[in-house]
Amino acid sequence: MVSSDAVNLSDAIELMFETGWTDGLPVVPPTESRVKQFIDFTGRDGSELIAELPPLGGKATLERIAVNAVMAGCLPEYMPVIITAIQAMMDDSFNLRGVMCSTGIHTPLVIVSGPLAKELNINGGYNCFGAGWRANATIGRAVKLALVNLGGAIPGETNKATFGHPGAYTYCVAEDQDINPWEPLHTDVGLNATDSAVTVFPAEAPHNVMYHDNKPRNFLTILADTMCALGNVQMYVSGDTFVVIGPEHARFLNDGGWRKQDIRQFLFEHARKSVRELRKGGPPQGDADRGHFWPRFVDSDDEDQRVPVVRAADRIHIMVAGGRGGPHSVYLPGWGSRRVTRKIEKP
Amino acid sequence: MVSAQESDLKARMSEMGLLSPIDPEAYSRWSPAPRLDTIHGKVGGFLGNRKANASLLLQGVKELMYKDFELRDGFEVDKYVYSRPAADDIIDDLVAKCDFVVTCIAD
Repeated sequence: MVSSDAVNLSDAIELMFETGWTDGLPVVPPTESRVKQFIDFTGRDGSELIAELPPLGGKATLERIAVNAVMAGCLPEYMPVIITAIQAMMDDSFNLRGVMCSTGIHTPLVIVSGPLAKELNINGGYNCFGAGWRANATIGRAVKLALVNLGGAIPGETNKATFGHPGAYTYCVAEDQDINPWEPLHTDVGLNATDSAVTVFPAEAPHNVMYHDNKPRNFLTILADTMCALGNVQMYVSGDTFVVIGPEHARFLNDGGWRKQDIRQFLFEHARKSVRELRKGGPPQGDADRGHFWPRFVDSDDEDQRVPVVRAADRIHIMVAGGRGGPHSVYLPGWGSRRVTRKIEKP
Repeated sequence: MVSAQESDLKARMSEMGLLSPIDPEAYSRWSPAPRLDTIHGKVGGFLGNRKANASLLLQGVKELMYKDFELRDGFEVDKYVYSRPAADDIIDDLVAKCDFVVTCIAD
């Protein structure tokens, strides 16, 4: 049995590498006793089936999810977040099979909003997409390990991401309600502000949007320009997309009377490229000719018609996070499917 | 069948008291479709993924197969969208009309 003996622990870590069930980094050996702690925390039965994860259809029981969570280095109290994230990704509108097998470079992002984010010390401030917080690092990692080990989305085999990005190791962030001048992210779907929720979204790596002044329209114009780059897959597939507004930008937007709906509408109207430009650049040019995924109001025979980055304004999702004092916000291109939000039920 | 290496790993994990993060039966639930003895003179289905390059590749494959195997007939169809499985009615139609199907997932 693995004990605190250094040799045994080392042997266990090496054995887990041999199994091929790690993400390339060492994992915490999933001992029976440690896994049981995670299951016990949920108050549920380990044999409970949470999901059959695509593409392989592996049965993700509570116990197997707990094994992946232990491997990731989680604490037992992270289990409700991990389980909710997995359940959210099984929503048909998220299209988990497509997300995990595509050649695109996106990967599922887990966003936690509401009181539980602070309770579990999930970072939504400085370096929130970077390193340093156990909750961010391990919750995201547990989800990714489960998707590979149970879902069979193996990099280079079934997961054909041309490049991938570091979020494939872990991609988890909190919305920081302390700095958010607007309503929390999860209220978009009708949850109460006092609820805690997980939102999942197939996100590319964060793209910085720097703006040093304090004029809302200028900032939003720059943000819109970033969002409608010709090489952005969003311009062709019209899926959901995310904007993470930094606290400095959020402050002057709110002070200027801008609400989330105003921001969405501005971006919807300005983050656009003409049919003429879209025919020349970017990915699936064959699909660009058909205009298959564009909103129905777009006339793909009118070369001057301006195609929006999303199908409708409410497909631009806005959250607030990041460190204070920096003139930065972030654009998160998506892949083509929808954001899904689920309430977290604590044990 | 479990390989000797897999058995060894399983034994060593058990010895160390470690649990597995996978569903060991997941892979065995999948198996290739039955194969025909020959496709000569048969009816082929050509299922694209709705990407332009997939259509091109399938067209080329279809022409070669007509030439090399003297296919009796062929049907081309695209899925609605590349990122999802083909709809049941498309599959049912191919099953009803074709002896074999070639798929393509070119990007």
